[in-house]
Amino acid sequence: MNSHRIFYIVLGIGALAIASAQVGAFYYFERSNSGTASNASILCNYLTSGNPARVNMIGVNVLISYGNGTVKWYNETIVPSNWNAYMLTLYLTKCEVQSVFYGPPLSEHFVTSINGVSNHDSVSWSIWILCQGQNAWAYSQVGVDLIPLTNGMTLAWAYEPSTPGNPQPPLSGAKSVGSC
Amino acid sequence: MRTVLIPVFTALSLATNYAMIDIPNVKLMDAFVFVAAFLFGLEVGIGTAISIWAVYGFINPYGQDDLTLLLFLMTGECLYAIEGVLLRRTSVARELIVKQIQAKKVVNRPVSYTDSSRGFVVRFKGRARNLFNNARNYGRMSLLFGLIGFQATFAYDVLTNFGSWVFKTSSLYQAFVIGMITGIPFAVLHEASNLVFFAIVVPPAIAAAKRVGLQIQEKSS
Repeated sequence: MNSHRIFYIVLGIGALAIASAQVGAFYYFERSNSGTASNASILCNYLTSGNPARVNMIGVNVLISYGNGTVKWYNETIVPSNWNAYMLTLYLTKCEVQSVFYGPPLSEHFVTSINGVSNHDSVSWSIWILCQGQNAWAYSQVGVDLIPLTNGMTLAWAYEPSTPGNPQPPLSGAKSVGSC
Repeated sequence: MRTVLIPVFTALSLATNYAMIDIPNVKLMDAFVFVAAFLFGLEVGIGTAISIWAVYGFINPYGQDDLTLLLFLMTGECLYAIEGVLLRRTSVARELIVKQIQAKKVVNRPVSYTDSSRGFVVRFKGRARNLFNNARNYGRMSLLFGLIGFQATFAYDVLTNFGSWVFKTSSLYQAFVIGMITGIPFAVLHEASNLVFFAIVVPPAIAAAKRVGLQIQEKSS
């Protein structure tokens, strides 16, 4: 077999290997982007099964605003300090949360329904954090899974129209800031 | 003298980039960098690659690239120049180009009409054979340059996607994997378009340049 033929064979094998790698990456991309609808039953079982042993507990406050003037406060809710805001939401609503999970690299839940109130058209759930020092609400810059809980923290879920440039704070008349 | 070719290829690349701006990641500039390096050497190829991104990285309707990403883009573009120079030195490419030029000369050679009764048949068979040989050589050139372009584009995409994530992740491996996955839609388009451009545009450009007598700068060892 002459060297030119070997050269072409090596090129061909290289091209096939690249094509295979790209197909695999594309498949993984499609899978992570399509999201997986979830009501987080396994996580719910864990969260509602009782206090985990030997974990520091903290108190947090949560507001859920349904957008029609109906608001509900969950004050001084005692939860483990290693929970994130998504776990807290599941706990408070007794798992009445629907979400879509986006896999790596995002690894995040996008909440689509809380207590039976679902996203539709341009109205959706958004999460806010109360900046204690400024007494103002800040629209969370990260997804709900990435919000760690701290003692005395106040969070809010607001069901409101999506206005990317100018989101409205969860309580009417409240102050809002870009970040804490 | 060769340095005057850098702005020529740069201008050509930028003009086609802006003309094709609405089609993301489909660009002729990679093919032009490759041709510049293949015909005129590594300095012209790399000079063209860097000059293109020095302009295109800042004056771009999609926004400016930050300096880190720009460095990766320039380095990635230089890969085409390096591949062009390396391929030029292989016997595979030289042989194909020589055959292509010879085939064209045979096609253009005047036919003598010594036997008028068989002249037409002989002429027709000769032309058909030459066209077939020409097409076969051209097909091989397209295959060679297409595959080389495809692989160079893959290397470029891996490097630049890695560069997009290297300072946003906690490890180099993570940057590599996340870059590969998140960049896949544009990478597929980029690689497919370059496979076509390298197969269709590059071979006739190189063969035409050789036929009109453009010389490749030979380095003394």
